[in-house]
Amino acid sequence: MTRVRHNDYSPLRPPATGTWEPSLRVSVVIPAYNCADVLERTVATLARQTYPSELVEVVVADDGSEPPIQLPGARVVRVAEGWGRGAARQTGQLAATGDVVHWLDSDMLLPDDHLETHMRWHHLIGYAVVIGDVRFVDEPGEEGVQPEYTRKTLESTRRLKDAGASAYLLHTGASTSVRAGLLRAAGGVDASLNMAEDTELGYRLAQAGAVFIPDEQARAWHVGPSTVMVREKEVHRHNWSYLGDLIPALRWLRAHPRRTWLVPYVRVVVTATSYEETRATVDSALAGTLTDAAVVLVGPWGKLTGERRAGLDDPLLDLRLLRHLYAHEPRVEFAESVPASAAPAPFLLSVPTGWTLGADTLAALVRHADGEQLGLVSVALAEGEDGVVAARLERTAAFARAALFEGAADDLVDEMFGSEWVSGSAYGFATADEAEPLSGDPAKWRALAGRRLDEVKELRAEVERLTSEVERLSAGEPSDGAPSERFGGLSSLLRHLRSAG
Amino acid sequence: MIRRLLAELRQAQVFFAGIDDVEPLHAETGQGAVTTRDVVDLDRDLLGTPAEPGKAREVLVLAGTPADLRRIATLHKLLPRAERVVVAVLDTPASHPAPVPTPTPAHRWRSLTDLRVHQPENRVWVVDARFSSSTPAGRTVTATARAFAGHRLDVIAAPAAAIAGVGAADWRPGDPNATPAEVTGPVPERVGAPGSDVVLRTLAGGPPAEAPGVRPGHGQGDQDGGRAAEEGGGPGTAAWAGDERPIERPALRAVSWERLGRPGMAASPLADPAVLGEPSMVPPVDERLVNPQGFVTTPSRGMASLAERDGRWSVLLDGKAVTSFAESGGVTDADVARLRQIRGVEVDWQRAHSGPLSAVRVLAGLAAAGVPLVSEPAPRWAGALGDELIGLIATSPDLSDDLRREEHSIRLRRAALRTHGVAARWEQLGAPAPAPPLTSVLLATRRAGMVPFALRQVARQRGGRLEVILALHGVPKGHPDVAAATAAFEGPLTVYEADPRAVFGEVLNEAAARASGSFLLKMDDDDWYGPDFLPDLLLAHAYSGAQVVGTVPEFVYLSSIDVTVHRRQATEQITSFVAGGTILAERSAFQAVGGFRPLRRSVDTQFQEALQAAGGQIYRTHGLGYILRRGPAAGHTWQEPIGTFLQRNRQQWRGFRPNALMAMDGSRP
Repeated sequence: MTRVRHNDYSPLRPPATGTWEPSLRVSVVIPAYNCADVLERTVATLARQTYPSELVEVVVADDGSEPPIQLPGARVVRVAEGWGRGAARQTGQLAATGDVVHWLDSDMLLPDDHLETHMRWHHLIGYAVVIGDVRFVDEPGEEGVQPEYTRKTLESTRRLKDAGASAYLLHTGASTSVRAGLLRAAGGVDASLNMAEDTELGYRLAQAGAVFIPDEQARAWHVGPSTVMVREKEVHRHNWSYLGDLIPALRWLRAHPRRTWLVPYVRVVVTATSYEETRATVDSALAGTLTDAAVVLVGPWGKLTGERRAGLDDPLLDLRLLRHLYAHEPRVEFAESVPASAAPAPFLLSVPTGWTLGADTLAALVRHADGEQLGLVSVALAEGEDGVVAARLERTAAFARAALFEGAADDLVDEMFGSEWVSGSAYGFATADEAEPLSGDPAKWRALAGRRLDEVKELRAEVERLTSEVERLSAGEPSDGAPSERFGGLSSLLRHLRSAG
Repeated sequence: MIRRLLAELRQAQVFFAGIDDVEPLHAETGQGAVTTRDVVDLDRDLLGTPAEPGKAREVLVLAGTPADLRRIATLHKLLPRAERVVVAVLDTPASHPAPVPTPTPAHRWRSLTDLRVHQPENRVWVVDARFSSSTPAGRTVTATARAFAGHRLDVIAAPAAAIAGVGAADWRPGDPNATPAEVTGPVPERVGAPGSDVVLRTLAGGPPAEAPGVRPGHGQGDQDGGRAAEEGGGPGTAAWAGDERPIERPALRAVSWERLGRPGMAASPLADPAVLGEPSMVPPVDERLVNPQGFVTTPSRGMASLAERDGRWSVLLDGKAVTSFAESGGVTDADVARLRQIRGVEVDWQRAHSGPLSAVRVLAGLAAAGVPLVSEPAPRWAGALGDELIGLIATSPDLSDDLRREEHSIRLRRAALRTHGVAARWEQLGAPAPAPPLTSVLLATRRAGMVPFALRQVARQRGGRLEVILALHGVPKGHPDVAAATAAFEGPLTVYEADPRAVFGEVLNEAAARASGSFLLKMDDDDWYGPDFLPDLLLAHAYSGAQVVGTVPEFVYLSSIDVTVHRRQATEQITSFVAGGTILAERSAFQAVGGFRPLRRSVDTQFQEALQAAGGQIYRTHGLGYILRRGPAAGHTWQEPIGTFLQRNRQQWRGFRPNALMAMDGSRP
């Protein structure tokens, strides 16, 4: 199976339609609510597909239509619990038996090779999410238009090849397909959502290692405009009220300086040792400028039972004290073992107990990882007889994708996402006894001041570089001229910059 | 600037070189506003050699760049005696410090009464010397030229040469020992000795009948030159009055495209690409000033092209000329300085410069400076570049990658400096090759297990004559690892069992005492060295003139995390520090500062400090031939924390990743 780097699927060469032998079974899942007439037309276009009919199953998830939908040529399943698009999709995918789940809206017109166009990608790799090229028409037969947002995104990212971790934003339910196994590994559809359930699913698929492939040839027409096209502002107002909790990658929805959110941006994993050491590490992780971090505290919590015990001579005293300390902190979660993944959080940071994070450590590490979309940042903290002590920032999506392959995870992550070692002191790590005291806002301002100082230093160096460049260039002119006069404007500007500091 | 100087020195005789736009010089004279005065273009005028140099009140010497001044230094004997000498260099790269001439206690400097070195405007340096009595003006010129080249002895390791004809100084740049002669000879006698051991003259040619006799193939000194003159004989072949047989080369103007295109030229030997296709047809590159020094590893500007503009090759970036080369094709240090921020230069072979030889000369100069050149396959007329350079230029490396770019640059400079450097050129012309210097490798170790590895690093050196002084510090020479490795080593090897109680500095000094080389090279027992490590250091020694040459750990293999890092380092410059495992020192300098201090550690730093305190210089060459091994902390409590090596990284790789110049297959040897 090809190893795709980030979201650059260009090494994949799908065969032309009609020239290959398919083997995977596909379940087309259509959520439906009171739309029997258009649904009939959609299902009819599915009957004409070039993809072998014995490999196709059509599942209609009826979200409580009145009268209930009856449709020859389709398996109809009824939503038993809850209601809405999320519930319908989840009911449909749970009933699906195919290797691939292909989401389709109820009012779609498809060319005959639509399914085949999608399916050829799934025969190449097991972690593709294929996005159909959906055009909106008023009447069947029109050429149709692409939503502006979609068009611009595709244009600016070489059709998502350069979109990196944000490729999921184009995931919709109108016509996309994904391997059933990947879908279930990502946790299926959030049945509680009636809107934006497709975007939220796309985010979790990304964390599961998916590559998003918008296929120009997988054309489909949606009859009538989408709700977003008609009432964009209201749709955003509605969806953004809860997407901030669910998709930590939408940083702009988390502008608040200190409230807590459902899905953290970084899960910091700490193993419980002594009370003081553990406390230093956990407290520092919760005190950073990146506020939507949460801690997974790993220890044998199950051993802490309720019988009468000697208060100060408890053999599990330190563990019990830690339990007391964080019992009511919503950002600390107690776990019996190190979690395999931080999903749906996009990053996991494991820190050796006894090491503390500076105020800006998490923010800087994540910024560094995002700069080149690194899958792993290893932080060298110290070195002793037993080797190098390191903290690790792991990108959830990278390690999920690596797990799909045979081989050492770190090597695979390096190949598909890139990895790097950095110095712990450069990122503000310190041992518990060297650490600065945590004190809320002052820590934040110190971090800010530190950053500004660094910036000033960089800008000074830049001014110096430019000055010598100007000197070099102006001096490069024939010596008969009067370069100092001709460059007077620029040098006075530089003087001004220098004096302004 | 030129006008200002002329106005200031109305009486002065004027000599200049490296100035293509001569109008201001002649215009001022032509107007006859003051007087008509002598203005001599040392590049283009056919020079007479006065039996006794004349006298002048004032002499003004104008050079375009420091590189041009070095040609004037070659001709210094032609300058008259004067009471005031003003030397002005109009376009000096910013990297040069003030060119302060150093008077020696020699008799002729005693009349110096006033010396002023100043910079009247950016990039212009003026040396103004006054004497109590009339003194040879050339002395001030050579002393200034020497100041631009770091006050090194001006020596070209070749026989004493006489030069004659237009532009002949190009062949001996910066050689005050050259003897200028009339184009028809003879070579003036020197005190009690013939004026030269070998003669090179350039012939201006002209119509085909006057075409100079030139032959392909490596010249065999004067003998070959003489035969060539005979074979090419005919009306117009310049006669030579003297017993020597001059080596003859066409003046560059004789082989301009314009001249070659004239009717009747088809029959001339100059039209035969095989005749012009020899490196020895082109004047050498003055590597003392045109060399890799100042190479920029991460350039800020994009790809440029080398294309024709107004009849000359220019480097064009975004349609603008960054620099235009002299008609002669001589690349100057000022040209190179202007090209340093450019990523690479693509050669346009159409309408190349003023003629085939001058075009080749441009390319040889750029390559010697390490300017990354790429092109389509070279045309036949460019054969004088030499096969190696022609091959390299056509390899089309990925110059957008900084590391690939630097590898390409290093390959180019090696080839160019070895083919087109001054000493190399004179060997091609028949001068006897001096014996290559012996380098003594000082290898001190406490670890028997590292000896085989370390000796393999020495054995793989591809050039440079060397011997090894293996200093065993607490390890018996009979140890099986040591015995096997020393037995397998081919080449001179001295094994020395140091007193186990001696400290590191003492061990090294004892090893040096057993060395017989003129260079000492301190290598470490666990670092990797590329096969060109020593040859590159010797090359850098030759062009930099520093007494100590080395490099920095730009590449480090961190064995405890199995990562190779490429660190940001400034290289190809005079510096205050090179890595301990890369110190190449002139033996005389090593002895002058008393060797290493008897310390357990920091001996490298201490040695370098002492050398600089004594007025010596350290040059840091490129870092692509050396990989520092940073082992686990357990072994060395004193080494730098691992985090230090993870900062300022340009690039990082998992595993051991040597660059291409290390010539390793990627496995750990």
